[in-house]
Amino acid sequence: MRSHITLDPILKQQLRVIGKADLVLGIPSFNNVTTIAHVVRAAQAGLTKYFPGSRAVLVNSDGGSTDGTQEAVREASVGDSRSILASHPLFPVHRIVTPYHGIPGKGSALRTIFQAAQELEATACAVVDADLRSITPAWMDFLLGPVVHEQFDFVAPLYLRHKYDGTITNSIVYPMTRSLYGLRVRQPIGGDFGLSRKLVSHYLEQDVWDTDVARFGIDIWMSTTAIADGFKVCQAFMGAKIHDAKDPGLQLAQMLQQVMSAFFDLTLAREETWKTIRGSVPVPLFGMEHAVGLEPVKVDQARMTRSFQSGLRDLGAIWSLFLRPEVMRGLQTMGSEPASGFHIPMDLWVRTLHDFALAYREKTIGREHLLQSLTPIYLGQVASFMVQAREADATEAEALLEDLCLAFERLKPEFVDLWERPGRRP
Amino acid sequence: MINAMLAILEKVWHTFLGKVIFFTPRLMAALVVIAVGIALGLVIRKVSQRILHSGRFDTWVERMGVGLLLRRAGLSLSPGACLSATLFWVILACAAMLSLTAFELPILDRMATEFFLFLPRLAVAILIMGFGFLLAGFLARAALLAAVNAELPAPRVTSTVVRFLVIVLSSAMALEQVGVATAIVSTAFAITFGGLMLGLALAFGLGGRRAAQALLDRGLETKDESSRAVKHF
Repeated sequence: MRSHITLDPILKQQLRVIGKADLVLGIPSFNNVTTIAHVVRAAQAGLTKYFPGSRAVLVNSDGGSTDGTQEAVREASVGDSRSILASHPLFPVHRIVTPYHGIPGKGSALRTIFQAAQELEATACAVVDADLRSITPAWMDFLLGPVVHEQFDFVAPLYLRHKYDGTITNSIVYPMTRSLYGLRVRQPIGGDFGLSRKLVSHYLEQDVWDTDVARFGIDIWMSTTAIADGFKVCQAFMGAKIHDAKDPGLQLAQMLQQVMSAFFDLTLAREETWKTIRGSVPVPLFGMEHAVGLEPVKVDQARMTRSFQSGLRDLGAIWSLFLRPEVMRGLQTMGSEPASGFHIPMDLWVRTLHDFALAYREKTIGREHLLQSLTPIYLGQVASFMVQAREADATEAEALLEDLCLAFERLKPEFVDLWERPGRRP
Repeated sequence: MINAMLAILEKVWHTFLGKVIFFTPRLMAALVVIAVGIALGLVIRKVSQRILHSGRFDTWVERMGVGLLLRRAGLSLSPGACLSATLFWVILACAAMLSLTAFELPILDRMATEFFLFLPRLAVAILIMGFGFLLAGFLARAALLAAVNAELPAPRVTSTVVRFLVIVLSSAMALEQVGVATAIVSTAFAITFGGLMLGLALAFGLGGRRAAQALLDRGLETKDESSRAVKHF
């Protein structure tokens, strides 16, 4: 087993007392006192309601919170469960609060949860974020049900979100993951997943727990590993997702840099898998899709357009080091477009991302600087999408994203061709 | 009297001949040393050009953001050719200094010794300058990216100032290393650097009050909006 960090002795003792479990629900946390009690209550109610005959353990893997998160988990009470439970549970849900060891980050927190699941020989494991405001007991059924009842290995979430939310997922991660690995997993970095025992063991065997995966990028790593290594993947419709800001201290450029470095590292590591894949196929979906009311989102599209145009003016010399001349020319034509009609053609956006991937691989400039220089173009793409989807409802906005995904798939052979000719220069 | 003059002339002639006999082989040796130096320099220039070309040195320098700076400094040669030419001239200078020792004159020997003692310090100074240029390029690009992503006004000015400061600092260190008017360099650097900082502080404090206010307002406005703005994840 590659995951060589041993479990905390107290945790080990707690697991020994519990013995075995059927289900493990993991909640990684760090200073989530305002939301975690609700997550624990919903999860515990869900485990009791939907899996009354199963032995379940809730593991909170905490990164040293100083705001009382651990106490909130210990004290969270479901209250009068008769209002939500149809059947009486056979086993109580054990609750464990433990610190994790190793590099600080969500990846290390999840490793502790996976190790606990392995120790308990759990059949299925689910992880949910501690910052969720919209989690309901039914989420336990959505995430664990396909694993327990249908023998799926990986359950990815499918949320209903505002058309302007999740823009990194919509503009980059979903279409690129889909075109590279051929599966239509709509939320590869959703943060809430259901996992089989086999997949948990597979994750723990990977030699990544001392890399950046341990700090950030665990979500895309889990999704990509499950897809690329041929595990049975499905999606579960979770309804709306409302959560706190991931890390208010992080700027957009830093967040984008973290996501893209994790994504491109996987692209490098998995090239033998994705190079031969063409097109994509849908994955089974559990749960009934339905419309829900979503929080309105305030957008400043003009400001995003200005960011793009300012980037074009000031970073053009950097971009021209690695963007193909035709891509560079394409971007330059938008230097003076008014915000109201601002539009980046889909093919141009796809080719731009492909050139960034190639530059990341070839280290044309320092990777940190490379990814930081993506922010203005990304904002331009978001602004362009907002113009296109201004009058669109959720279905029409989704259709626009589908067009983008198809553009990624159509241009994949060109990308593979460039990838196989390292040393190409603009 | 004529005999005395002839004796002196003969003595002068002998002295001259003696000097010619003394210097001619040394001159020849010195010329040979210089010729070998030129040949060696040309070979090394050619070889280094090829190595740098195959190692894509010019591309690397461009990527580090130094190429543009060299062009702005009026260098028409490519960075690789520039480095190769520098190597040639350093070898030629060494050969010239070495050739002086062939004359076995104490003053020339002392000059050559001082030159060769100076060489390591010159090499360190060149390294400092080279590293300074690279660091300036890296930090200037980092500042540019940070300023663009933070939507600060005039990102290129920020970048240029960062580049200028690092180059000034490394130049001062390099000059200090070669011992060129050490006191003057240190004092000039302190005055320039201090003056620049004071100037910037005064300019921002007096002339840029509105800009600073606008910047702070925008920062607060961003924080207020963040709770209900687009969530990128």
